[in-house]
Amino acid sequence: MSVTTFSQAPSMAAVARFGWRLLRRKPSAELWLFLSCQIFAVTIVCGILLFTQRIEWAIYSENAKLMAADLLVESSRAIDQKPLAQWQQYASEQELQTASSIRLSSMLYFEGALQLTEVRAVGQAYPLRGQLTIAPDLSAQPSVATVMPSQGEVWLDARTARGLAAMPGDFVELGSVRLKFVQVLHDEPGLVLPSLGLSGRALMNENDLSETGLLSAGSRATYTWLLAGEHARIEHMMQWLTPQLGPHQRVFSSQQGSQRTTRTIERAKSFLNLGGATALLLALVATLVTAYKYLEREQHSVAVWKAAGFSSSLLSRGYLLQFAAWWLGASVLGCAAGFTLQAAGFYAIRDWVGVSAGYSWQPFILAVLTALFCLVCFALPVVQGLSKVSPMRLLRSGTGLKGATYTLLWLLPAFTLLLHTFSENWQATLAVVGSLLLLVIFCWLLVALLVMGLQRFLALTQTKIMALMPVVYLGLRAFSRQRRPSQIRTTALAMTLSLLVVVVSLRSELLTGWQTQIPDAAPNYFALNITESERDRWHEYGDEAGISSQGLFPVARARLVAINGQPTAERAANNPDAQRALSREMVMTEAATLPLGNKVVLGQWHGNHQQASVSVEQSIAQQLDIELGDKLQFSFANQAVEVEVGSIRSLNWNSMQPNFYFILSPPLLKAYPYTYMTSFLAVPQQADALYELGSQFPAVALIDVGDLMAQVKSVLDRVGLAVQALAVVTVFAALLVLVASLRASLDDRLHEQSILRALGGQAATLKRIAMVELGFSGLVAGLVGCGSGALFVFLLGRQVFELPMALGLGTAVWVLVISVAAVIAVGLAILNRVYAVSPLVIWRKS
Amino acid sequence: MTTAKTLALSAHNLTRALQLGEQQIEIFSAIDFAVAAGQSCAILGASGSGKTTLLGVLAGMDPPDTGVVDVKWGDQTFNIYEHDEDWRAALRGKMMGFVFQNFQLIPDMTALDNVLLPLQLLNNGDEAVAKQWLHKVGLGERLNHYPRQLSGGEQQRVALARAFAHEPALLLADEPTGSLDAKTASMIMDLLFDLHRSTHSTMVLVTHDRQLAARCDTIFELDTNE
Repeated sequence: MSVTTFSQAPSMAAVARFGWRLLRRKPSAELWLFLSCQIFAVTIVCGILLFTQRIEWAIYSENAKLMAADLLVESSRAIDQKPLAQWQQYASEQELQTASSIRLSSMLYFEGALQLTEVRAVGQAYPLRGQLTIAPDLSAQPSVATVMPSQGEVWLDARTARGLAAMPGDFVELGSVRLKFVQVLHDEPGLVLPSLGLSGRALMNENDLSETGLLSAGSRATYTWLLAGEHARIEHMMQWLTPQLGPHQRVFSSQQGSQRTTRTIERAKSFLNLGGATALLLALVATLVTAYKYLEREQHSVAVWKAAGFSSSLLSRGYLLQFAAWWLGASVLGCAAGFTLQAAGFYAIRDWVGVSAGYSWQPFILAVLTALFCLVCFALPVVQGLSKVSPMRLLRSGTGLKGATYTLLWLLPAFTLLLHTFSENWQATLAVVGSLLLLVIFCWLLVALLVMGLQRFLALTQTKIMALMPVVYLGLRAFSRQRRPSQIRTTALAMTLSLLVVVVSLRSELLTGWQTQIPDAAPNYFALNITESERDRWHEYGDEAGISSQGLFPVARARLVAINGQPTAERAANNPDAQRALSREMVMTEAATLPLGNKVVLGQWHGNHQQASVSVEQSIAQQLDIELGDKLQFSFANQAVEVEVGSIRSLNWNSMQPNFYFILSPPLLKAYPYTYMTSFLAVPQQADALYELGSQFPAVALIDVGDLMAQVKSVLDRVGLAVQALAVVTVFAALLVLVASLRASLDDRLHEQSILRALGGQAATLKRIAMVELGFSGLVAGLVGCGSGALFVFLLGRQVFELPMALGLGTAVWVLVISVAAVIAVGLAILNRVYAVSPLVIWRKS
Repeated sequence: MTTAKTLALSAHNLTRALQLGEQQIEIFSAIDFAVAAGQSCAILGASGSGKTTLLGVLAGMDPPDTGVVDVKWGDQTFNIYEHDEDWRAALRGKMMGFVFQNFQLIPDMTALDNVLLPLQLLNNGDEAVAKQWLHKVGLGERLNHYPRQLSGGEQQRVALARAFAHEPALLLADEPTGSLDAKTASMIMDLLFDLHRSTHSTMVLVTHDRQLAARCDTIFELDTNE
């Protein structure tokens, strides 16, 4: 045999044989745990992504139902045929459905009665999402409409019908046409974006509209082009369409929804990113702990094989083959588990969610990638470590591990890359990784500090505590003695508890916070278009009917045209938010008294004393870069007025009161055409009074925001589900870390306990000592978790979620109790074996 | 605790078998064993003869399949397997001391803590006593050293200090020099017998070394054919 024969690379067959031999071995507990952690990591990624994606789709679908489309373009002028034809063409290439509607306000006449009504003219394709419900007469139960009004027909809502005293079968006049009232209109999509100004509703065929003569030049109509289709194509269409829109056109997508739900969904998504990342990180930490333990276990076998003449390359490749097989197994099992879990979760809430959301391949691909990351991050260093094991280990025990330390260096960049694959957003990824890193460092240092403090305390008080409470002393001593494992375990647990604290805090603040801020007697109706002449009568009627308005605000529409003499179009050229804010007419009011729920944050409230002053809401001031003393030029019905910014206000958008971006000092506004608006509370028993109100004030528009609130709540409930599901997964991940770290210390504990039992330690005493040790670990984790969680809640609330959030004392106490109880329960469940096995068995093994 | 009373140990008709899968392996059967109070007895036998198992059975750690183990303490005699494991553990803690072949020190405890811990488990925890015993075995200067910082001989001396610190009436030693070189082994055995004599304890020594066994008052030989 030549010398080169010895250095030959092993054949594929030899590697395969060795790899197969490794796979066929009876799996050790470490191996099971390692595989479980990998499978769990894949399950988390697959399950969470699938679940949240489907919940998100359900939310978008709900929004789409409210909008009657997945995407819509609204225009205050008729959309030119040429661009519209191009859009239609592109939409058809993208396989998107389209429809259109025109909305305008007009008077309906019937036998001398007239009623101001919001009329929507639609084709048969309307609505693309959601459904209309109609009834053949006022008292009949509504059912879903399968076709839209035919030519010559109109559907009226109950308020309009009552206002006109018209019955189905009657002919009502709209402009110059007579339309037959055939159905009573009930629910209608698109109400989430109510236009200000109209009240009753009517639905007619779009082909009748031109004959009405209502669409003359300058008439106020809203033209809507609606689209629906596959999620990704809609997103693409929106990106394609947005730059082509004119100054009078706005685009809305179901993903934007209403401002309030959008904000909540964005907050929830931020949280899901952070929570999912934490759960994944915990699973990876558990994998790391078990990988290290597996490496420790395998060293002896590798030393034996090396002594028997197996080459390092054969061993490396054989182990790599084994890990690759595990990767495949973990991928398949993890994906199956993730799919099953989310399907079970979704099945449990199918009635609540109410839509059947589909699946995409993305979560599965990302889950398999996660398993690959686990393989690269943990398996390769293990293989590297094993290939360096010296056969001398057989002769001299304690030859240290090499290569495993580098795993930690791999973990951070690999984890960052993995997260980026999920979020596809470097900023969000780095923010999440940075937050977690800070949390790890913070928890680690805090735990280290507490352990050091404990060691010092025990050294100083040893005799006294030992005399008074020997079990407590020995338990605390055990905790501080096993500093490194205690610290890893406690830090991992503290991190989870931090997250739990955030979940609990967010659960109440993020999801129900805005609802609980709304007082019980909050108004649920807005009334618009009350004229000066109707003002006193409105008050009188309200007093009679027991409907008390929250105060009448004079309102007029105006457009902000210049800031400090600079046209706003120029100023907002590079700011899409500002462009959006300026693209519409704003509803202005004037007031001498600061409205309820408003608070001046800069400058001074104008009151009655200053002239030509305006108070600006702070978010719009920020968007448009408006400062105190700036001169704002508004255009009221083509008449320009310039006012100085006297104050910047914050306000509570959840107050359900009329809220305004701009409040002028009196009597500026009343120099222009204005009406009044107000809000009031009406209970269901006051339905008749409301109908009567409609008859008494036919031009007044009533908007039922109670429905809107219910719709928003239903969306928030879905978001809440996702957050809760994630909390459960994270807790499970933390338990996995706890189990992994306790399991990793099991051999040492078995050994130690067998010595102590041989030396006369009673199992019950040793168990009590372990309980003190575990309980203290839980207590430290709880304290650190609460501390870091409180800080995290505060920072998240301030920087990310824009909510004033703080940790409640009750929550902190609960977290502490749960932490101590969980660590003792899980710890004793795992360590029970230590006390059940005869010390002689372990003694013989060692 | 002092050893004013002495302890004698006897066993009758001991049988112990191990279940390995579906196969039952008999380790020893129908053994009678006795060691008088204050005497030393060597259990001699080849590897696999069941010496360590017998020691475990005598120490109350491994119930035999048949037979009894009697401890005679002053005027009282009791079968230790009539009592539960906690009772037997307490008996070991109060009356028995152990010396193991691989020292069995707790690695993340100092020499002092290793000696102190059994005392603390007995609610005694007198640090002065632990220090005194470490001085006796010649490790007065190594109190705060960890096992990894001590040689094999030094580790076994810590184990001896731990075994004698609570002045047990019965000392059980399992191949105490099995992991040591000849010179160190001889020193350790001298120390062990000195301590045995000075404390008037009864001693059971498991060994495969006939020369070492010959230093004991009696020899009990186990062989695989027995």
